[in-house]
Amino acid sequence: MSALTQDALLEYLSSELTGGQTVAPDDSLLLSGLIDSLGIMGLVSHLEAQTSKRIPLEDIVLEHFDTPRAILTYMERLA
Amino acid sequence: MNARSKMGKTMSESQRLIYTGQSLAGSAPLYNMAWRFDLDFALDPVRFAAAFDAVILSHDALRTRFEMGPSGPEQFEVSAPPAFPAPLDFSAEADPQKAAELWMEKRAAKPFDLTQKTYDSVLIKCGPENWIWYFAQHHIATDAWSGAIVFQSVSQAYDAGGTLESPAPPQFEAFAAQSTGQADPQAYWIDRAKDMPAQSAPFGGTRQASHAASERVTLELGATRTAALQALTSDPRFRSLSPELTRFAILATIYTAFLARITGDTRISFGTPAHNRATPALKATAGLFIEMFPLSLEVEEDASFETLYRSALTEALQFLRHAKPGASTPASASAFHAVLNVMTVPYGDFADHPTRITWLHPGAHDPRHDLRLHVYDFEASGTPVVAFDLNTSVFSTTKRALAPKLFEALLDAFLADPAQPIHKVPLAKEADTSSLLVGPSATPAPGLLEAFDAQVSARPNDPAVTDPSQGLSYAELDARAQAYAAALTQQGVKAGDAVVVHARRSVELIAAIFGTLKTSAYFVPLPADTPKARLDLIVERTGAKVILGDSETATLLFSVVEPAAFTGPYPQGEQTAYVIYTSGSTGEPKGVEVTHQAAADYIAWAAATFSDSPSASYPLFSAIGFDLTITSLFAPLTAGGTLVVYPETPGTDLAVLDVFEADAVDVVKLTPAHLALLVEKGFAPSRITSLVLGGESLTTALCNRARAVLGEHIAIHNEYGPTEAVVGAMHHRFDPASDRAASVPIGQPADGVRIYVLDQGLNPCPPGVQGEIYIGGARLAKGYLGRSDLTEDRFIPDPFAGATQDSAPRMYKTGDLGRLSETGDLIYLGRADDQVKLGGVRVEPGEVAAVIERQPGIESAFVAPIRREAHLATSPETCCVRCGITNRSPNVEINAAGVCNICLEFEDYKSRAGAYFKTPEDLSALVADLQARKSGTYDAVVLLSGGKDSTYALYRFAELTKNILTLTLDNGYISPEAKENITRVTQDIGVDHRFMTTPHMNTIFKDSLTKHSNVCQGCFKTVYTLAMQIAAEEGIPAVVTGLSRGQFFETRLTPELFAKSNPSTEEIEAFVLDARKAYHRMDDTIARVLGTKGFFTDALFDQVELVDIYRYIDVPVSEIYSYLDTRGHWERPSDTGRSTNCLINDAGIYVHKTRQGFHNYALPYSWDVRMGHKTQSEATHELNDEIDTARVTKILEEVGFDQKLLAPRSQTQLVAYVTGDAALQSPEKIEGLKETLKAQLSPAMVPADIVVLDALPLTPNGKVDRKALPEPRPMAERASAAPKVAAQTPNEQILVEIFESIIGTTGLGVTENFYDIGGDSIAAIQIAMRANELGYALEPNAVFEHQTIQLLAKVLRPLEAEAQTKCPKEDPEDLDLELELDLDAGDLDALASQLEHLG
Repeated sequence: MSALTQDALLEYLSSELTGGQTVAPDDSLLLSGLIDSLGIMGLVSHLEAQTSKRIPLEDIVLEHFDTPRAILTYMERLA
Repeated sequence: MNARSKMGKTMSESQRLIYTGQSLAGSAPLYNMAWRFDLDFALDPVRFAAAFDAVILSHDALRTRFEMGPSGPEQFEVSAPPAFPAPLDFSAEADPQKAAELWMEKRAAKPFDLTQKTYDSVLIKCGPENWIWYFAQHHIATDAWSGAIVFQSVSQAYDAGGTLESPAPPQFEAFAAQSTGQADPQAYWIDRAKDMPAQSAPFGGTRQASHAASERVTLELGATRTAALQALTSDPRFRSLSPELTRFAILATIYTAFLARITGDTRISFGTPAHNRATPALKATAGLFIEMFPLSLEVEEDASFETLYRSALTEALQFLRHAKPGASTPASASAFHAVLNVMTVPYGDFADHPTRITWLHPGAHDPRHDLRLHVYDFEASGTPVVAFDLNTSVFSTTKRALAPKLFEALLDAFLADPAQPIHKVPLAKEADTSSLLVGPSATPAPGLLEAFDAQVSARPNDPAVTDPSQGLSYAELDARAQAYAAALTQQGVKAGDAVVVHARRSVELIAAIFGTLKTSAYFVPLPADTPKARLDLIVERTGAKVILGDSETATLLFSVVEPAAFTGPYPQGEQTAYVIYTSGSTGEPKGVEVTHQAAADYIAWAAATFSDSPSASYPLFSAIGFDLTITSLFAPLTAGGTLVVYPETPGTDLAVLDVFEADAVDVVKLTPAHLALLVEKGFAPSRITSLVLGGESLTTALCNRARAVLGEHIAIHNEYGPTEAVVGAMHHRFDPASDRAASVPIGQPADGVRIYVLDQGLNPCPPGVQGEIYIGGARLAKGYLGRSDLTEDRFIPDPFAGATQDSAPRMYKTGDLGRLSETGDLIYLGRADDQVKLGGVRVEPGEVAAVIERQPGIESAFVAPIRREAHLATSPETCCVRCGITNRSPNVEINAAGVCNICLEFEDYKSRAGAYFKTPEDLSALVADLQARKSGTYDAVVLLSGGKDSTYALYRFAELTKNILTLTLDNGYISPEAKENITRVTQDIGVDHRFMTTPHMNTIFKDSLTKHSNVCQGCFKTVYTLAMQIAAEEGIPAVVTGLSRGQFFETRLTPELFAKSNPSTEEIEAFVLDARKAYHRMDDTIARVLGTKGFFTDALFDQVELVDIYRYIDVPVSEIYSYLDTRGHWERPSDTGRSTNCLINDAGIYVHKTRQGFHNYALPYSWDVRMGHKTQSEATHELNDEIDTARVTKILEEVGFDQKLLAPRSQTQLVAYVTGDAALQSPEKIEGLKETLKAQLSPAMVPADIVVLDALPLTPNGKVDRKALPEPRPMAERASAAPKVAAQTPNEQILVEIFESIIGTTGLGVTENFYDIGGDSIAAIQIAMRANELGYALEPNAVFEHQTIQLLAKVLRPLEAEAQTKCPKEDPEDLDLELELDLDAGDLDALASQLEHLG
């Protein structure tokens, strides 16, 4: 039920999806191949559980998920 | 869900599915994953062996073995795996590479004995610096990614001198444990699998349940295509979450387009694996991670690659979203017949040496899959390998060569222009004209009259035409025809005029037709029974001056025509000879205009083709307005034979029987329905030697029966051609030796005729691909009389005619579908307009009929698609004598005693379900517990709709605590009177109350009405969602609902829960809670608009308990009313209709009754009756609502419901009409027939009804009269007509016992279907094993092939008898090293024979 913080997101990405590799807010996750689509879907489920928000399928696009900063911006905007 | 593996290590869902698949396939190497790694350096074999042994010890997945335990497969870990074998040395062979290749090819197909180990690893020396590491694993322990892990681990260990330096890798066990039976994601896939109809087999091929043999065919993508594909991943039109997802969606689009084109289906489903390695730890774990999930796409008729890509991308995202580990189920894993496997794993170098990596095909794959497409680039070369594994039963040798080419054509089309329509992409290469069939060239035949005159001169005194009252010689017929010509001329008929000939069949009719032709006018034949209105219309359309005939409609009666001579000039070839009116699909008659030359060319070909005798005799017995009759009319009289006229018979015209009774002609032209009738009557003619079948699809079964009954000397010609192509455009002479398919081909074109199978873009379809039949050549009709628009539409320029004398060659668009067979013959697939698509899958009723006709005891079958409105399907209406529910509710069947199936089932589990209910004392204890648990102000939330049930519930709960928050959803339609009730009641009790609201209510109602045809479903979920959220936020430990006991049974305590067991209270509670979680986590409109806060973690459900108060108290409805009356604060609102609180409820009832045909309260009310809370008459009375439609319509407008959706839901079903022997009258026989069909046909093709008739009704033209077919019996009647059949034979008895013990049920009938009684693959294996224990031989696959005990009993044999034919059991030692090439030849022979056996 908590708000999503940048630290929490970066921590989740590095511990769960990149195998310990640290991620900076503007690092590309998808275009760089750091995380694959299935990994992003895992992140989507995690974000939903964390924020109690539902992320609609049509919102799962590169613009919203390529960098941690984009994810934070998108999640803030999401009603 | 873990029960099946509790004795060993945990098995994942995927492992279980693979185990099942392997068990069903015996020792076919379906799941062998074999790699060849070419290590071209001076490898140290000792160091390699040490490295490999170290790797085996470091990954648990490599050390597993499997056994079938008492309750399912179990996985064990081998503690001491055998040491790596010594290398094979082929370096002394003449061609070491070739020798190694042969060895590996055989070895890759060698079955694993899973009870021993799951890998096979051998080092092969081809030279000092040429080594091959052959490594194979059973798929149950590996996948492509896992293969890379093993490869890389061995490489590292080798590099490090033969030991593993890095820390121990993560183990498979941990993953398997979290990936078994994940209920929530499984529910999604089970649901998805339900809308995936079984795909048609590609190219019209045949699937065989146990044929696993397959061949791998690879497609060279090349650098240009690879680059183009790569470029598309950054094209804005195809941008997605990631380039890798874009690439997948593009491949999925092409694959879908490819499957649509080669199956003819519009709904395409295929499976694709999810790699399931989301984290780096999992990416380092060896083992089977992948799970297969189905994707399903609709290919619209005008879909382009670009539009299909959008759907593919959405589907891919849905797939990724729901592809959670452990989510696959047998249902979802078997929902497809094709697989798309796009792999992204690179393998890398071996110890810094570049390595060639080859994935070897074991020669078999899962027999359920027609094909599997793999795309991979293990060597990271940049150019992926595109490999098709093609089942060799479905894909013949030529189709295996063709398939990749078609895929390539579609891939190239996508790359060239993504906006182009898929169905217009040319599939055949320009040079490939194999689907353009060209008949022998023909010189123009002499005119009809010229040919007749030649016979008059040659044989003036031979009999030309006879009927029962007279006979005319050629000279006499010519004289009589001249008399008609003279009379017509006298009436003012000139060349090019129309003469309507409206008469019964007689010698005079023939003379009249010849007379008309002599005047250069054309004849319009209309049979005697033509309705007056149609006659008038046709006279008007043709402008005919004369109606020539034998009845009062005639303007020139046959009887008044006096002898006279006629010597006018004969017509030219291009002048019209006749116009035949066809009914047309719209019912509007269309006159097809045929020239003298076209008619003469056809007749010359027909006379030469259908009989060896140059002057054969034909009967005239069919309706003269039907173009089939043209053959008999002219063929004998232009060739010197006799035309024998058989007049109409009373009632349905069955003069065909007289023809066979008399047996006085040589060639008979008739319809398949006629032939079926003759077979039934048992005619055995001696003079009749040639039958020409036309007008309908002809089945092999009918031809074989005809030969058996009528005589083997009879030649059967299948002729095909529309009226527009002059009677017959092509034909095939039936050959019992080579015609084995269900339908008889329509063969090869007639002289001068060209036949094409074309796609929507008018490109030739390659052999096997379905397309529309077009007919070209000079011998076409002129067009439609007076309808140049229609003529231009259907007769279009022929681009394939090539050099021809015709300056503007045309082709006729038949509207018929066809495909070329393996032998180059055309197969007719029915009318394009008539094509039945059930759930997107093409179903050919004729094909179904052909299969039915093959069954013993069946004479003839006709299958018709019938569109039935959901609620009209089950009239007349009957009600259950106990609960009052009617058989119009879905799945309700009422037996002979008048009791419904729900009441009967309930009787059985009622007492077991009692475990769920509790007492008022339990409720007091619960409230005390809630008071202790709460973290906020209130003890509980009580939901108060304002209706009677929740008001009463509130009163009762408030007896225990008044420290509660009552919540009402103000959905915008709560009646003012209901609101007053709420205020009065909460004040009376003294409890807090709040209204909940959401701005999305109309969206929710609209969605609920659209999806469920009611408003309650959406409203209920909104109430629960909002109330749970409030309770969670305010620290309230419970939400109390007024859900009635009937509703419990309707929605939660379902018979399935109690079917096989006697669950404890805790188990039922756990089940109900799981169902609630799944309900809230469902991705639907409500979840989207409300935001399903917190529902995705179990914490919310732990924190807030749902309490159904009627679980604790049991009270009849009458008592609720009297209690509320006594309290005096609740009054039944006057404005809410059926509901006691809500104004919109009637709108829901109205929509439901209109669309579904029954009341949405019918089922809940029947439960109230079953609970004893209402009487049957109360319930029935309450369902007879008066609904104010004006008010309802206004509400529907307010919420934005699309009222077009109010049309009743209807569905198309196949109904089979059969005739045959007396045994068909027994219901068991029909049930047995249905079971047989289920085993032979794909589910969509199995008729919903089988109706037995004495004879099929025929139209005057001899076709089956669809309008005269009776309506099938209603569902309920059929259910009660099929009693259970007890075991009759010892084998059946044994099987009943085995089935009952495995499936856990009693009282099984021998005709019940294995799936219907709850059988699955595991059960099939267990049944086979139990049978083996009892001394019987039974393969698990047999259970699928013979799906009833009755059928299975016939193949059950004692074990000894089977011993010789069974394969020797694999000796586990064999898996170890052999030093010589041919050591395992014996094994391979055994395998080959087994594969043959399977095939």
